Amino acid sequence: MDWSHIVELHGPTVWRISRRLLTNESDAADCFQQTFVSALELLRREPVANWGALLNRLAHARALDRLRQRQRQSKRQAVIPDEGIADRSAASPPQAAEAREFAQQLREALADLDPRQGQVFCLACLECFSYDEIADQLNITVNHVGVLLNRARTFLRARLAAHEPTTTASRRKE
Amino acid sequence: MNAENDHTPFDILDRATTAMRDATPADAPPPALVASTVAALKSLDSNPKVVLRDARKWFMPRLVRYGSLATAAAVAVMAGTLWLMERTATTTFAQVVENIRTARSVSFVIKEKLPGQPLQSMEMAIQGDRMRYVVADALAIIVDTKQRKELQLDLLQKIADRTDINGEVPAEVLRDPIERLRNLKNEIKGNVKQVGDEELNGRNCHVFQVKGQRGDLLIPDSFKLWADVRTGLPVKILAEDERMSLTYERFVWDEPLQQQLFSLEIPKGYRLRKLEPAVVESDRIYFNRPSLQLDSMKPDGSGVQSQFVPQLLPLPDSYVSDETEMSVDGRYLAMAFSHMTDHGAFPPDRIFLWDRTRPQQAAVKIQFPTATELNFWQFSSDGERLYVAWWAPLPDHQQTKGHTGADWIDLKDKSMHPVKLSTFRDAGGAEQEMVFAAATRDGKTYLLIGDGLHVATADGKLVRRLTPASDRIIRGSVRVSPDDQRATYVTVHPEDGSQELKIVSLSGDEPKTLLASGNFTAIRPRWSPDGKRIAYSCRSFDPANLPRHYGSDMDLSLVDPDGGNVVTVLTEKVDPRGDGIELVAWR
Repeated sequence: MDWSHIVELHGPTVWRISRRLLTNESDAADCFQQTFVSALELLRREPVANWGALLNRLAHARALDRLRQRQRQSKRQAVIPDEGIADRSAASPPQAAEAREFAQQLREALADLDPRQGQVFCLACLECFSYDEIADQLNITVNHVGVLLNRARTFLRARLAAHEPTTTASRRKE
Repeated sequence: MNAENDHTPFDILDRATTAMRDATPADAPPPALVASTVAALKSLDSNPKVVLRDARKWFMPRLVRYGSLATAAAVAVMAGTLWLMERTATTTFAQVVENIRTARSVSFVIKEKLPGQPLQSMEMAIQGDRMRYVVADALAIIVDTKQRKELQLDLLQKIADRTDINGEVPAEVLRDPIERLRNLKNEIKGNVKQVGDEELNGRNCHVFQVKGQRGDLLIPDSFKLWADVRTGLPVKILAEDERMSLTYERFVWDEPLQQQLFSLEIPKGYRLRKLEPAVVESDRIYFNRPSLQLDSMKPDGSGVQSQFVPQLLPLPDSYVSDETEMSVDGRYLAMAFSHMTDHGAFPPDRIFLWDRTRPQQAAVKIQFPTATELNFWQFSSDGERLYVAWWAPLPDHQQTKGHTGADWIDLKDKSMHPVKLSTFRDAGGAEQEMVFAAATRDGKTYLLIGDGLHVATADGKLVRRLTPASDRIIRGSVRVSPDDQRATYVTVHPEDGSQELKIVSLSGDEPKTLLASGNFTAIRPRWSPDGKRIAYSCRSFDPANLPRHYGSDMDLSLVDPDGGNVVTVLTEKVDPRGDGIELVAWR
């Protein structure tokens, strides 16, 4: 197996997913490696037809695993601070700060979400895959994708509403 | 509502999703991560037992091991051995040796197999005074044996390291390996025999067996050689014992090799490696990943930073990571390398004080007398002294009998002063010397190990015994608290060999157990700067895994001196056969 080629080709995508969900570089590095090792383990059981789709799915799964692990740890000890990734679309420092807060709350909510729902949400809403593509990747029906995504959105919306940033809440009252 | 909010979606989930999607970093995976991942995948492909976290670092020890003259020496040792046999072996074999000696160039492949590790394959080429050694996709080393210069190329990261082999390298290592082996020729007399002919890769070969060669540190002590009947040159060499198997094959003799392959110039596209100065921060916990790097983190486990292990010596000696100590101000590392001689590898005989904030500056070397073996060392808590415990052979006993002792070094003028040690009567009534374990800040009180842990004055008078006489105390584990009131220490359980972390007051209260025996080994405690917490690294205990009883789980935890409030800040899975994280300091 030409691992150099596979890592070179798909590494940037796996890294982007890891960094987006975990932000902490050390965690992202672990996630990066775990993703490829998981792929290797899968490869031992069956041939891989679509490396891109497989690594995309695995990267999300491993990153969500790590988020959940961090969440559990944070209940026992101080949380590892994230290394504040700049929001490229934010027009001003307050907007950027608010965007970071939103993103962080979403990460925390994802950690509490059912793993399968979390994967569907990430693939649909962060990676913008179609229902068909997600169904294909996760080996479930298109209808099932819709159900899982709907449940995920409901859960996440409720969680986010409970911790809505004050800046947004105050603006909405205006 | 202001204009800005006119474009803001109100659905909080949509906003959060957009924020996260837009927060994607533009950076690519670090090249080192890509490189280590590829290396780990390759190794896992053939060795599924390697644990992930270890796997990321796994490949590096190989590079470290071969990152010096070592491999060049190994090959030269083989060639030199053949040279030696010229005068002792059969005529036919002498011809083979003569052909090797007169060859202008050779290239070949080395395959190395160590127990429990995947097969490693390396390429070697020798032309004139220069050697080129390559681990595919990872490392190239070019050595000019005449100029004593070495160029290392990290093929993945495109980083070059230049090394002048002269300098700090001990004379016995610097001597031409072949010249070194001439001294061994008496050992090999009569130990070469032809064991018949075989066909190998379509060639008719004479086969020779060499036995009784004193084992070099890098090759087994016997080998088999296949020489082409027609050319009289080696086709294959196989050297193996219970430690390793080395196969030299795919020899190409006397074909001109490109000069460029042996150039000591930095190739286009490569940059010269620079050591970055460390930034000393307060309240960080430092720990070693053996032979690889020094890492640090905040006491809550966050903010892990990789430091580096300074490559002080271009030697086959290895870095003795588990004895590295850090000065109280976090600036200096007191570190050492194994001491390698013609007789084998030994504990260090010198310590290097290395300023992390000035990495380019040469380390200060503290050399001890010949044949002294340094056991461990500790900075005093005022940072003005370095205590060093050692073993030295008794005169006329040639390493077979010795005695322990200790010195303290004044770090201002590097002067050395003996530590006065007491004696005790062992179970058989014989008088034995106590062993230095630790000292208080003012240097007036020592902790000594003999029949238990004792408090003693600096002039050698015992004050009180702190622990039962039967306690087996690990010397380097004794650490006095910053206020000089208490000490941590680690004992070995007499039956199962597991370890126990304890704390005792220097005024003589009953010792208290912080980590009970039965579950852990390799415990290394260190006090926090304010003395309110104790950090310790430990390893799961596996009695079946001889000889060190290492398990595969490593933790770095914090505990209050009263045994409460235990928090684990780092957990890692490691290869039970290998080393794990080693706590160095809390500064």
